[in-house]
Amino acid sequence: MRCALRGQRDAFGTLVSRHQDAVWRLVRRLARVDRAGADDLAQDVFVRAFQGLGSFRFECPFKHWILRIARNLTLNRVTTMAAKTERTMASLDASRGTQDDRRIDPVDPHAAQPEDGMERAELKHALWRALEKLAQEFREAVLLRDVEGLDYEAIANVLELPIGTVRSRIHRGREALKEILTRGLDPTLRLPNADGVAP
Amino acid sequence: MTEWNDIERLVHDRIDGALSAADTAKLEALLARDPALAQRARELAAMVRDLRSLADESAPPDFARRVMARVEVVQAPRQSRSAWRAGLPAALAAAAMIVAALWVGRGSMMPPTLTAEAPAQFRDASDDAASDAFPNNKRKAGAPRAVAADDGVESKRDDRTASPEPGFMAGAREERTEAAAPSDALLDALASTLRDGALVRGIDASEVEVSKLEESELPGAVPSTDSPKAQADALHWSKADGDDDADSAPRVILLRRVAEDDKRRGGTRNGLDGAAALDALLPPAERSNAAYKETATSAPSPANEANDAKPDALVALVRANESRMRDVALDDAALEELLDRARGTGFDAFALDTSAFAGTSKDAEASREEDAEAPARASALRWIPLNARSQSATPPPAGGQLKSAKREAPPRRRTILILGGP
Repeated sequence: MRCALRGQRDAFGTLVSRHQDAVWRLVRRLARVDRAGADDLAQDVFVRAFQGLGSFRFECPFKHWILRIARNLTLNRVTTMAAKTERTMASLDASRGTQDDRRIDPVDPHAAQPEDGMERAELKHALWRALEKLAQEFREAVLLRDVEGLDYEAIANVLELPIGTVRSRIHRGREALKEILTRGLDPTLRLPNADGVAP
Repeated sequence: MTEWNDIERLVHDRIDGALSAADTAKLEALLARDPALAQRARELAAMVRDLRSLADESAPPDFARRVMARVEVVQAPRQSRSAWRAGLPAALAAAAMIVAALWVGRGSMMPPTLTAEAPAQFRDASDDAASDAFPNNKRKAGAPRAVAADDGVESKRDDRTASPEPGFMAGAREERTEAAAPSDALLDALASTLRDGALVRGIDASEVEVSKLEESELPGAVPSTDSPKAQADALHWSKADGDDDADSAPRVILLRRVAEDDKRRGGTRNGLDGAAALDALLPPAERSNAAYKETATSAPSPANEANDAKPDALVALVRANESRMRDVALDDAALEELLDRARGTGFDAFALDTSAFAGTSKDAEASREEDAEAPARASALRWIPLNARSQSATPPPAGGQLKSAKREAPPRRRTILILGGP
């Protein structure tokens, strides 16, 4: 880590290899993008981390630090993309009167992912789908705890939240996830946010 | 907290292994009394186990390679201000010591360039003539002062893209062998290095911002670790021009490319340049200086870290690196080609220590013979103006003469690029 901090790229390469999977999984599931999208996003995360190594203070493990960057960058991108989509849709709505009555449905990033298809175990697929239906604040907590195996303190570090809040989100997220799995993956399923399910 | 929420917390804590013995007993009792609750707890635990199996999803195999390809073209991380300050004293001391040592011009390892007298056309020129000869130095007060300072950051950035041949610090004054002509790659590397500007490679660039160092420390700043003579000489350098304005002293820019491509190839010698440059620049007596040792051992070299910081090991690596330079000749034609490219760089003068190359030009050889009194290393120095008036086909006389900076005022307002050196 200290070698990487001195600008040694090979040392940083070691860090990339060590943490790439966790970062890649987190950005993919937080952004709800396909593998290519996750690739781009995760690369951005590491580049951003490399550029910001000087601000790393060794106050937490590098993994927590890089996951925090991954989470923040991903949420920023998701927000930006959502705003763009909204503008696009508004623009289309405005021009609808002069064009064919074409409807453009929002793209479901999980609907057409051939690489996620038949080869995956049905259980894992169902779990991923269910996870992605969780509201973001619960999804990230459950991902970090139950998929990545971070403890509460580490998650609090990554999410920059009090441990009590983290614990609460994990508990509620699991309950909501179980609810989704029990009731099925009906996309029309809508539970209140208080139950941890994305509207 | 309701009872149900309390039970729920216990269930989750048990899944996470965070339940105390007392709470475990309490939960077991609750579950034993309520089969539905027990079933729910089992399902929850099973779901969490399944979730953990999702961690087998991984990034594509070539992901790290693609990341590193992108990292290669971005700027290296910068230390934060506080971290920068932490390493500043040693770095400044080392850099200033290098500068002072160069100006003093003593010791067998001393490169002659900084104490060598500039060519006559530089020395004798009046201020006006000098201004004409060096139009690039007509700066307004307050204008950015040092090429080195201006280019420092850029230089660091471009270090990663330029591909200079290793070993420009090679002091290949040993027996020279029949040498090949310089390759296009070498000339390109030299030209790009010239274009990039100044490099002072006495310190690890990641430890200190070179541009700031140069701006604040060059020329004339003397650290307390220097000898009184070094301080006096360095101060004299500034005052000899008739004013104390550091701007009036020549900006001497050392070009030291040490093991850059080694670093690029795999980083096995990362950090070598700092210690190596010090080795090359400092006279032997100065190498025992504590500041030098500290700087040398603070270089992020695997050799340092693995071998308990033994500068001798680094010196040996440098020596090995030097040997590569003996295959490179720089004859007059090649030099002219190089100068053609150098003239567009904005530097006013160009000093080439041809001793860095296996084959020296005839001028330099002749000069060495004529100037038998001068140390051999000085005779290998070529001063070549790069301004428009001096772009004649014939370079100025080669070879400098060692003189004390105390006795002879240094050339004024010169931006000098020194390439090669011991």
